[in-house]
Amino acid sequence: MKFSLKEYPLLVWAARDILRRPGRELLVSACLASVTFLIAVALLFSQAMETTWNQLMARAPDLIVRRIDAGGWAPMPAEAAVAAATSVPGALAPTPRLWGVATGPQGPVTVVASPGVIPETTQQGLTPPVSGQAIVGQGVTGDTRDRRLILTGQDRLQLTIIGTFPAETGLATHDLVWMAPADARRLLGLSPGQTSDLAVNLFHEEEEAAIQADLADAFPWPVRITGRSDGVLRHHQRAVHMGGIAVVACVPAILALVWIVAGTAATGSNQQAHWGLLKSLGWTTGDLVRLQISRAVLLSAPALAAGLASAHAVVFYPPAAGIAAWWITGSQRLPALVLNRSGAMITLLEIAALVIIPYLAAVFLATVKQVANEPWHQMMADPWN
Amino acid sequence: MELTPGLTCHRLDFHWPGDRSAKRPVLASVDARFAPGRLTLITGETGAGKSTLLHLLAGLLRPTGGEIRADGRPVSRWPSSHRDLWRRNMGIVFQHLALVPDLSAAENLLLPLVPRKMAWSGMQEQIHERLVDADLADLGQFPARELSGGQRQRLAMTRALVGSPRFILADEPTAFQDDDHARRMIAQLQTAADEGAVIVVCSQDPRLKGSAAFHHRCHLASGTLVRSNPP
Repeated sequence: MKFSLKEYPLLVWAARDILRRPGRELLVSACLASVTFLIAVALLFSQAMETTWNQLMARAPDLIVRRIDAGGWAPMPAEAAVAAATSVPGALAPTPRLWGVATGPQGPVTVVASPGVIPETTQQGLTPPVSGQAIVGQGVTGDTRDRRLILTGQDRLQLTIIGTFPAETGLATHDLVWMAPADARRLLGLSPGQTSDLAVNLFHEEEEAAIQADLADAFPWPVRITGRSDGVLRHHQRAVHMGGIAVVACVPAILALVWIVAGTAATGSNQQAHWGLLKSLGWTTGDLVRLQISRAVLLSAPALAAGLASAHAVVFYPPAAGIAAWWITGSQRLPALVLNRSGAMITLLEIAALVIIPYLAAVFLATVKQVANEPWHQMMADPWN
Repeated sequence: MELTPGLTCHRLDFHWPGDRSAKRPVLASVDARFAPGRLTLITGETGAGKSTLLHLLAGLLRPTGGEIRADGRPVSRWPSSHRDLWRRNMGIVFQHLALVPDLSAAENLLLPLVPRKMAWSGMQEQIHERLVDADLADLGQFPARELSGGQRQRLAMTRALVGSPRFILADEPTAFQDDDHARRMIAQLQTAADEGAVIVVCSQDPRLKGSAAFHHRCHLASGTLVRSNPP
């Protein structure tokens, strides 16, 4: 179905045809926009979560080494740990990190003291805290006007909040408290020279599994090593789970689409006489199909744009983003999501497959079925005037 | 078969589906030729089959026997897709007019022009000229349903003439017209014939029966078409 400049009158006529029944066409358009919105919210959310997570994971170290003993996690001597990791070929820049979990005013928080735990982009514009100060994530305190923060761990600590992490880093910093190393050691019960874990980068990412075994052998105490691919795998599983929920949530939308498609097919049967007249005046089956497809495109394009724009606003802009997160995940604690170009393209293709193609196919098939008869029989199908 | 210009019916039969056993078919072995540049009037009583003959000539129905040739080509045997395209050479005035009531008079005239892929300016120009000719120049923007019976009939005639088709078929085109407008419509058909169009008019209107504009007259009765003499 090739369109050219000579199709211009046909496009104008398609627009005129829409205006002949504005109420009905507006209803169809509103239904299409609503279906697009519901499906796009679910798909955009799932896709944006994956993109956001992947971007954060790309900044994380390749391997994390933790010492374990009979009681679980245990601190390890920093110098000995660095020496052990350095002895393994392919393991680069072992960095001791100081972090742990404490109880804050809103529940458990993650305490960090070493810049290595916090992505560099997160630190931009923030001055590292000195003793008695803290920089906190969006979810640490309920009242942002109260600048005091009391944390309880191995010891009780009162800090002054001097800043908060940017909202767009929420996925990594939502429950994070950044403080001076001396304060962190006191709170977590670590003595000088001890570290919580060791971050290690790899010369070749493909060697992750092999180097994990070498690293485990190199340490003089039992360790648990977590790779970046483990985190990615866990997230993929979560994204698949959320995608499943999203599909279930889309069931009413898909039912609405079926209703629109069925309505489109049924509408054709009321236009038999009109199509018969057009054929008697020189319109071919191809002309009528092109007219109906043009009409459907003119009708659905603004509806799709409106549905997509609304979905984009609901997924990416607060406070609507919080409602979307609650709807899909059951939690309003939402990181600021991002979507890259390929993610947006995938979402558009999915919406095309779910909404545009079924609608246009219904219009095409209904039109071909209805206009294939002899014009005289079509004209006699309905009373005139 | 020689390539005869105009419309030709050769041993044309027609009966409605399921009516094969009826004593009298609608049309039985009709032979006729409608030449370019000539006006033909077909008369006949109500129910004689005049409208059916026009619908067959327009390619809206298929004959049950015989064939119709247009400029020597067997159009009645063509598949629907070919006949749909060929129908762009046709202008037809239906007895029931078949205007689209919610469209304006001008938009009704656009209907046959849109698929012809003409430029908008050319279409507008033609429509304006035709509306003036039909004494409807002031009514172009009015919905067809708001026009009187006579105005609607003139609009239907204008729709048949717009685009200057090769074949013009009209079914009772002057039934609701006063004498002056009936004369003007005959003159319009005469002009189209002078430009080389094939004109076939079915009517019982005494004004047409008595008009000297028609070159040929035929009478349809008992499924048979016979030449009749001018009054």
